[in-house]
Amino acid sequence: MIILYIIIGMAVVTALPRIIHPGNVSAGAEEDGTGAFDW
Amino acid sequence: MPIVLGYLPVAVTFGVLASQVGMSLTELTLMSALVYAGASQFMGANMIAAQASAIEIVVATFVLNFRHFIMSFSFSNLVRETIPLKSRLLLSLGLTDETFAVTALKKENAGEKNSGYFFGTVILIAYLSWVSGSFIGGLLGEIIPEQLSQSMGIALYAMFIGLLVPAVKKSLRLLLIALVAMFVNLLFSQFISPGWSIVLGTVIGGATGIYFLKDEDL
Repeated sequence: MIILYIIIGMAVVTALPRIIHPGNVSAGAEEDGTGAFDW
Repeated sequence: MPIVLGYLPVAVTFGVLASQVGMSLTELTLMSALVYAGASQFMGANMIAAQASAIEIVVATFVLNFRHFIMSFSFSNLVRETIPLKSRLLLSLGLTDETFAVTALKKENAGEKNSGYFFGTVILIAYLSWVSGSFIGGLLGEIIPEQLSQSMGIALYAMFIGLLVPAVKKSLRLLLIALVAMFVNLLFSQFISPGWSIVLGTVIGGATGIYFLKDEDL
């Protein structure tokens, strides 16, 4: 059972950096990253 | 195809190792399907074997996957004009070092109208290779004799050395960072649990890169 918790925990902390970042929440970000933190 | 060829043997090795540390076929396949991060999974299996606590494993995974912030950020910006947010989020979930390398090399495709299908196919094939490879490895781990599967434990270290050597050949400064991480881990493992000493080794070793590394090393 503990392994299942480990898997879920690992899955969450792996997915978060993949989807939560300024590139996905800011329409003003340029390709070089400038303007990414305008929001 | 190169991604499949690169992923399958490593995925099979992960399956064998994970089954060797006591994970069931369902657990190790579920780990590959949900986590889908090679180095983290190898580290997770290793830490489960070392009887590290769940929180130590999760924190170590988070530290190891910090690089995904940058990779995913770069990818998202690359395809911002051509792929809608919902699809971008889905594709971001499938980003790994290897698929990121392919997307970075195919920058010229990013501007095309159907680039989402191209990147989606690359990511899906890589994902399926990884999950099916782990499943096959898990099956093998249950079938092959224990002595043989135990000897495959060395594959974990061989894989990490295999990742380190090409980078070190490019720049000796990377070796210095690896040695700092190794030393910190060794030092702290005398006083605290192996899981936390790995976390500290990763963070402190990685932080020294801010001072040691130059642009041409990256």
